[in-house]
Amino acid sequence: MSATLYLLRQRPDRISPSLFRESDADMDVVFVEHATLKGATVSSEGVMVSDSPQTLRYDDLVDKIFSSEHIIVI
Amino acid sequence: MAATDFWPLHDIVHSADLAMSKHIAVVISEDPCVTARPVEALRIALGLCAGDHETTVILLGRAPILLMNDTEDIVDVEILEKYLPSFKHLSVPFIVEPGTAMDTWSDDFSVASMPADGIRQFLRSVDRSLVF
Repeated sequence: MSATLYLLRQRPDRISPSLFRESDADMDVVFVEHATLKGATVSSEGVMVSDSPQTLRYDDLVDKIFSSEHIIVI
Repeated sequence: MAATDFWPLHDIVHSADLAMSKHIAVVISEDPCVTARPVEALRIALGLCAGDHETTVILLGRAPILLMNDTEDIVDVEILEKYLPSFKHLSVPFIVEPGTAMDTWSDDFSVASMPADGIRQFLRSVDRSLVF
């Protein structure tokens, strides 16, 4: 589990690079899109673990939130 | 016997943990001339500063105009003018991106410049972050 969990409510290309950069390492990213949750994990080497974001259940999101050191909602 | 003698130890420890001061970052990236949320975010940041929390305000995009003298286009500017002196008095730290144009009025605030990578790392290091 990564130290930082990003919950993104907007497209990454619309977020300031001072807040979020997809190429950063060691983070979990959850895309919150119209009541759909899609998660992706970026390893400590800055590589996305899965090729395409997977749909998350709310229980999985809650687990991620409680197991992350830092949570940033953008 | 005091009432607290009956409190389980873990409850006391948990209460102490909740009362600990946190390092909080308040990020404002929305345009103050378009929405009232940036001024509201500053009001929230000031409320956090009034407690034990160590609060830093990060101003991105057009948000640095909140600290400038020319504020007539800002939504809820009358509320902003009421709160700004407290930010000066408390020396609340502000962070802006490099190249952000500030005026002499802004010199009264504690403003530091930080590159984008530094701001992202800073956000990942604080206990809590609020992004507006």
